[in-house]
Amino acid sequence: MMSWSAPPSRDSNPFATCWTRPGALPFIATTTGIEPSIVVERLARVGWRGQVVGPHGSGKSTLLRSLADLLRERGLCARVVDATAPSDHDFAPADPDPADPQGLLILEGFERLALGRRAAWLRRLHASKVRFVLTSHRVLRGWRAPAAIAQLAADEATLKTLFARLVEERPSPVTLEVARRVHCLQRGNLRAVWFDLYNLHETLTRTERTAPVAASYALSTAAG
Amino acid sequence: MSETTIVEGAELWLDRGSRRYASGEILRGGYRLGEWREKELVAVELSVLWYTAGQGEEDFFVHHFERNKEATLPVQVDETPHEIKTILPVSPLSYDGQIVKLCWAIRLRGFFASGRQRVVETPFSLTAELDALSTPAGSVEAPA
Repeated sequence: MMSWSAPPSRDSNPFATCWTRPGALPFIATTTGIEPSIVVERLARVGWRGQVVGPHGSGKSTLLRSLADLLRERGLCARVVDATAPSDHDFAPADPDPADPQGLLILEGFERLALGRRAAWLRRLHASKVRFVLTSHRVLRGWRAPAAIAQLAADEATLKTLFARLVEERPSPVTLEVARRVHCLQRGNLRAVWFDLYNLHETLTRTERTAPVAASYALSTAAG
Repeated sequence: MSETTIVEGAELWLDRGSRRYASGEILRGGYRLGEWREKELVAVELSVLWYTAGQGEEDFFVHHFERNKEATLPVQVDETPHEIKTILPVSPLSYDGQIVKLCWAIRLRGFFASGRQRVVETPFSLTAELDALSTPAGSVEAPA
């Protein structure tokens, strides 16, 4: 009897974006000692305007998304906005709402904007008196840049914790040792690490998964 | 009958062991809430959907959806399975690529009074046409 391959499923790869994107994975307090509660405390102290600093894949977005519940406890409602989202005019999709006294704007991707647009954003944010947190690769200075409330770096302990969590429910032939090597090659960029591990997992499992399909295709081609 | 997916008491199944369906065919299956009923269940949502999984941006579309509130749900004792039946569309077909996968699934989501949610999912394949060796459709039966 012919055995069919399993239907395609997100469960077939533990490193797929649906399992590794910010929000799907929790923020892990690392050796830097940064925890969401500490970040909120710092943010309150600097007047609810701050910047979270860290290289690519260091957990900035994950940290910011983990603040929502803590902010709600303080009566604030966080709104996540992609600063790089295309718009018809400069600020349309992410227009800060000065009429919302309980709002806090979380600006993701701020570091990817051109210098001129960053300055324009900051001018606009200060003029609207809105509370905000933005992300940056380096500590922003000048342009009335907000205070740095957290500086992140994804260390190996974070990788180990997150890796174990990902493969716990969806096993992978990729080992932690390999993940460590990739982490080193990617200089701590966790997003890039998950991408590489996704590809590696596919390489190691695809043949087994898709062999019945390939065999079926070969049979139908021969018959045709 | 396909392998039954059980998560903390809830069961969800399809009527075919192969979990392969041709476009335009009728998909049948069923679910039992089981122990979910003991945990202050508020409502359940059943959907037949496709989604993309892989690297980067994701997309999805709900083909069939039904929501049942607590009052309309069966009691746990001798719970009669809730039947699922929907006509599958012509496309998009299932696809298992390296970069992206197009996945079809039936998904049962339970909403609880505590605010928590539980999800059970059973994937299946939607193909252009069924091979002669595939399992024929059968009636919906609850797992033993």
